[in-house]
Amino acid sequence: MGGKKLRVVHFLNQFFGQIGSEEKATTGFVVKEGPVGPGLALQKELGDRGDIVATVICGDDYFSANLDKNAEEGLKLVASYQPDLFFAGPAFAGGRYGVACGAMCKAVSAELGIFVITGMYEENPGVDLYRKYAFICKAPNIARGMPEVLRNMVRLAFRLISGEKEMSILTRENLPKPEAYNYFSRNLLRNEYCEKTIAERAVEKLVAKLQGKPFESEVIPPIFERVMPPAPIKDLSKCEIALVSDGGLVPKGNPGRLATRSNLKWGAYDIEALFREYEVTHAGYFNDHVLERPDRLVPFDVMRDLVKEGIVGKLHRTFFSTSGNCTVSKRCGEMGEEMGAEIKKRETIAAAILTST
Amino acid sequence: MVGVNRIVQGRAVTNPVGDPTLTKEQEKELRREYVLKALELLQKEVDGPTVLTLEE
Repeated sequence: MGGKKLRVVHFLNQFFGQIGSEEKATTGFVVKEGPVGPGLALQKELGDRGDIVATVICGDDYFSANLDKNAEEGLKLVASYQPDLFFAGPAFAGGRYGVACGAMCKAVSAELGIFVITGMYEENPGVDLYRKYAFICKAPNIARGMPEVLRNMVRLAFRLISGEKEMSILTRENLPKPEAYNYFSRNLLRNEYCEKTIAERAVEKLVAKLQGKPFESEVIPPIFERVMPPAPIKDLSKCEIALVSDGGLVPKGNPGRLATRSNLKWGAYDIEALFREYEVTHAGYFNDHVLERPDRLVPFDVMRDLVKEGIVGKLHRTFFSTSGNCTVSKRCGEMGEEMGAEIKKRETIAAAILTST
Repeated sequence: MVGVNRIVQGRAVTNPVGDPTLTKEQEKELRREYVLKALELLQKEVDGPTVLTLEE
């Protein structure tokens, strides 16, 4: 770090920025030179290693009315001070404030490439929206915890700055651990050097598990969001149903070029034509049973019977197909949304049956 | 569970709605049972992820 003092800019809402409480929430951007309100305590923590050169303040209602535009406006103000480091809040449980802090951090980090640090209570909506883009230190739900949160935010900032020289953007060896610095994980993968091979570590953890001893998994399972169940179908005999599958059944020649593994695409195919000439593009299961009779994957024969018998109103003529084998869950979610949008766009489809291998 | 709220447990990974060890007729009958189970679930009110097997 040498002798050069860090230039710091701090973002606050109208309340902490000492403009006024709720009745002043519609106030637009105000810039004050030097530290304001909690900035005084922040300055104390920074000591002689950094100076809060400016405090950017904005009303909660004003900011939340147009997030993107206001983050852009705030960013210009921040950039004019050429900071080395950016702090926002902490916002504690304040919803609008937390979202504003997150949006400011995201914009500043993306444009200026400096470290951005804020603090929030775990239930603040800003946490889930912006944890990927900013270091969000954990904070209690009331402002009484201000000194501890600011101390931790500065501790993390100094750690980030000091590791910067050796920090590799690709491998992130020096990325501080979320649990060591009490911030919400950004879901970034970091390289770490270990004495033991992965096989040894896996066996050790398994043995610990079998013995009922504590162990720490190195794998973080994806968090699946809760989806509200759609309302049930009322009259099946009047309803049009679409068939969907992630088992890789595609027309012969695989015109959509779906991959057999880590596939990122999906296709929409005429189901009648597909069942005449097909192939399977999926390297995650033994395909022979499906190649022999594709109804084992996509129940076309039975659905046709049920329509003929009047039990089901109609079978949608397009079959929606993808190949789900080691595809990252994020892309799976996107493909589901894309298919869902297409199904909705067609207006006549009341439900979908998705068969999965 | 992957955000799906209505699930019927299939036969096997290689043949979710079929069974190559059965005769063609038996297999189609089995497939019909799976589809009817799925349709039953589509007509049912659920308040979260619900998994049914053919026996339920």
